Amino acid sequence: MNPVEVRGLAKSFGEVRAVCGIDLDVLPGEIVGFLGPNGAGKTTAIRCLLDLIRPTAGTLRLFGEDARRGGVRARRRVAYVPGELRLPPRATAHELLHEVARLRGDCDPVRRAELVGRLGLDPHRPAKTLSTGNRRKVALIAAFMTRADLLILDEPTSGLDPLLQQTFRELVREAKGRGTAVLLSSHVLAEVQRTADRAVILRQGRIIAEGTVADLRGRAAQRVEAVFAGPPPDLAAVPGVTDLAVDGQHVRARLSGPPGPLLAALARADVTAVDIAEPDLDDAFRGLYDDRKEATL
Amino acid sequence: MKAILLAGPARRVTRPLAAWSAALTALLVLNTAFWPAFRDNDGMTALAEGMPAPLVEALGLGDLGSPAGYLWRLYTLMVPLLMAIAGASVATALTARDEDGGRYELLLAQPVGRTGVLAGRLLVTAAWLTALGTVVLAVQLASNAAFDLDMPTGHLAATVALCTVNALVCATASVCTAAFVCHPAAAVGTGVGLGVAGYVASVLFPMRESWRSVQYLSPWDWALGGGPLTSAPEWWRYTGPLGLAAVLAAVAIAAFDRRDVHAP
Repeated sequence: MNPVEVRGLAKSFGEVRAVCGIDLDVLPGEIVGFLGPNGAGKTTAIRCLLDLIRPTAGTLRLFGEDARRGGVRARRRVAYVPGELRLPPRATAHELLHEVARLRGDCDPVRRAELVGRLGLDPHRPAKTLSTGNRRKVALIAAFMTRADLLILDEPTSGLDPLLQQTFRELVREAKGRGTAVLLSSHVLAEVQRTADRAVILRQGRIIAEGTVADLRGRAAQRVEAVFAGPPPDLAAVPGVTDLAVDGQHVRARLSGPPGPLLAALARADVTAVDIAEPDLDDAFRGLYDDRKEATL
Repeated sequence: MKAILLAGPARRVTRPLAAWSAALTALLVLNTAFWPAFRDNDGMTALAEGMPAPLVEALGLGDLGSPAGYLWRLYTLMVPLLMAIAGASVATALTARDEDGGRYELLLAQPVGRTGVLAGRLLVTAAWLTALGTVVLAVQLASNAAFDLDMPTGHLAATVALCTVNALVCATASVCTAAFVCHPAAAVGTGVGLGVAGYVASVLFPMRESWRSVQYLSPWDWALGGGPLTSAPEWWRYTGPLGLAAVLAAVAIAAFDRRDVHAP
């Protein structure tokens, strides 16, 4: 049984359709990036999975259990980092972590202490004195101190400095090494690119692309820059070249498809420098969000 | 039910218990401290004789010279109303205010059911009100001893118990509203409003003959309408309000299980 099986999930809030019939699977040991800008429906889908909100339509299963009827059983195997952790103002991180441990019953105090040390958290400060980053650390420790088989992480690194983001990526890799599946919701593309096996991209409540990170990058246009000794040739007619911008002897463009025609055109001209950048997930993401290309996907 | 579903909320309401206990202690001690002056002065009783009988009854001025008559004003308005406000406030803090503040998000993502979470908070509220009632009774008994107010302990205990039961109904009404809508002001307003409306229906409406029957709809009247300071209350004065609280709790649990949890 897969950690996550979602079919036809839809959720409306009055007239607003937040999620419009999405299918989603997360396999054991797999890290799936759940990408989209604010308002794409990521958090709504996650909150449906955790039975915090009830779907308008669709079926949601966690480890084969219905997310509502078998929610309590299913959530024994799930740990969650919410997008924003709110704590009782006077409670300390230690008290909260202790409470989570008692609610779950699968937490190792040694592991908890190790995580507190790795993330550099003072667990005895009241919640009202904790910064956004420190509250994020509390949420991460609460999730990673469990023996959950599925981690659902909603914007887990917002508010963390680069060093702690590195520690977070190590924690995710360690979890994957233990066979834990991870659903990583984010709008930080680099984070997903570095950690995820697969990415699902949402737009306005619909999945507009999914595949391995390599697949998605492969679909993206490459960025091309060339400098010429004299006036640049007209590259607008070269197959696959778009977004052409000429600035004196300097040309910038985007290239989709095979590079042969462009390389042939460049070879005929007096080119002094060429840079064809490997597309990253950012390029894929931007391309998918470009209205002009939506129809082709 | 997991013990932590009781221990966590209970820890959070210890400060409000201390604050409300201190406030009620001050009220009870100050009120009782004036008893010797009232006992030895029949001026107030003479003043009341010149007032309309229903008004004298409503304001509790009829028998100021007796211990029960002196405490009547306190235990037909101030103590039950303050306990109702306290109960509604604590119940709202543990439900609507927690949800509105986003503190249900991580809790309900754990392997716990909504029924257990809400039932735990209802039980903590009931225990909290019982503790507050115990403080009220203990302080009143100590004050009685200190200021020579000779009041049967059984009658006083029954009165405080019925104030607690009435406050529990108001608190449960707050929880019930919180279960339908995540709106702290509406939740606390429901509980306090029920208390005030119950008092008005029980004590003020009977002053007018045509409105008298409305008092029988008031949970306040069910609990405190029999004059528990002077006579042993009937059993249904406990079970009636407790039954209503149980119905409200069941409705709350059913409603909360059917709706979306508010997003932070």
